[in-house]
Amino acid sequence: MTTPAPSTLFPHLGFGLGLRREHYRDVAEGRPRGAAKRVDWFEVISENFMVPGGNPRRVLENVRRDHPVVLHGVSLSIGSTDPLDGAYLDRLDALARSVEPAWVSDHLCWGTAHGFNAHDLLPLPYTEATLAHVAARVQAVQERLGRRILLENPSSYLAFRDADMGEAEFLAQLARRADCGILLDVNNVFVSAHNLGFDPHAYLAALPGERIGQIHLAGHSVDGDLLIDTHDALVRDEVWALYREAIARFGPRATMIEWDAQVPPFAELTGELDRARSVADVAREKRDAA
Amino acid sequence: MPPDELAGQQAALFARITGLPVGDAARAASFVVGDARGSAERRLQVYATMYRLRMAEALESQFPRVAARLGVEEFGRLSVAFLADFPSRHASLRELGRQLPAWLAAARPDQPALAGLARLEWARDDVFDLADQRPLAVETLRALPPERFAELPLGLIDAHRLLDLDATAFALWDEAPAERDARGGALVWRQDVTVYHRALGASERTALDAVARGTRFGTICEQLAIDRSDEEAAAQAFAWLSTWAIDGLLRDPT
Repeated sequence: MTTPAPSTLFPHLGFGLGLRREHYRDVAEGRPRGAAKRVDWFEVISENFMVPGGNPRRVLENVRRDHPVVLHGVSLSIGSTDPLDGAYLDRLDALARSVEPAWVSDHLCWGTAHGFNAHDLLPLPYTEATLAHVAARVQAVQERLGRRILLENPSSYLAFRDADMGEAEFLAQLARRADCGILLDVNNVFVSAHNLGFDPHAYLAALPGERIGQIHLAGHSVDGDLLIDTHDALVRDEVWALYREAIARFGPRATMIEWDAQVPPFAELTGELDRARSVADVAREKRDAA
Repeated sequence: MPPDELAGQQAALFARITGLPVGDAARAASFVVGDARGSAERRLQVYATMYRLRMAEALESQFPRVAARLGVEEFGRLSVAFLADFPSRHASLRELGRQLPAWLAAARPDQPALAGLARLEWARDDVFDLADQRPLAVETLRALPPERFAELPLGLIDAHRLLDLDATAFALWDEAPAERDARGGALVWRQDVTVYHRALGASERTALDAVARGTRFGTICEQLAIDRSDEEAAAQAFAWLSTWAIDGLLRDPT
């Protein structure tokens, strides 16, 4: 399951799930029977495991014994104008050395100001100056960690008046300039496209496929005229369609389902993962036929 | 946009979203595109609402019994007031509620049991993921020659907390009237991956305080013998030692 995907810097891990506290026991004990075997790899939230010991580290060690793992952070705050948090990077580095993940990722966003943390993934104004600022910080982080990181496109509810490029163009330039990877969240593309009024198909077309190492799928909810990235529902049909388009365009990519609120039984999640496999198979056959 | 300008923009947005006085919140909307789908204020409010809900949910997960006693609305108001005094400065939400028990004690002086319940809940959360250490095995104690017991060094694993807590806090935890000796407060600890707590009598608390600082078994016996016979003191000390070892509370000194 670690064969290189066509035209990408990253191995194709197959189809994975986010490891959530609600499923620790299912995963550890292989329940329901066989369900855990249908999960090729797990993504874990880095900050949840930056602890000295106890159950979280025990579970992670057990999972890592049997599966590839990727570390996905939410607090790097790569776009903030606060200084990079050296202590945080030290803990992330220690965790990465311990876990030996396939890769480390975080988000194209900011969440800190004046030392305070909103624990949110706030959007950036996509300008040339912001690009220079973020690229320099990505390079510093990669140097500190000794590895290439992936950055995920956030779900956005607002855009900035002074932006002079779109998010896809910004992400593409950032990936090339900082030599980092992209974690493509297809649900986030759909949500942001709806909220901000851009074309999700043009967004995919603008991305450098070889930089995309991983894909996220998730559910969202509706709040008036806006879509909210709630991670609490099944993947919507429109998002499956966009995923099919992404695989047809970029080829197979390590794909995972995110589900963080009202988390369903493990078997329901593996069923959703089976659907991702089917959609990807169809898209790949179309791509091969073409 | 030079970093200084970006910093000012981020400070304004952060202030608008969190309510913290780090920038000019009134300027935030001027940076944001508004359209038919949503005005700039409406879009900013999405983030502000999510911030408030996310913080309240995090605190509720750390203090579920305090939250249940207060109810959703009251706990939500309490969360807002607490976060105004103690906003997150840590990369992990795990640290969010560390100051809440002491803050609650000051904010609600008429409800000391509620603050005690919060202290108990935080302590249980706190030991959940502290470092793993090898506990002193019961078999090691059994194999120890009697003449070497007095010099046996005693210490507690890091994954423990000794709390000053009265019986009313236990009653809130149990949701039943307290009928236990809690004059020594509470012991919270983790054995393997399970967190436990129990009430302490005054003399066991004194002994555990000494063990937590690092002592020898003989010293515990001597302290107990102040107000009882040597035989009674040794019997009590051995009984505690056995319980502490079975509970995985003692650190292996080797």
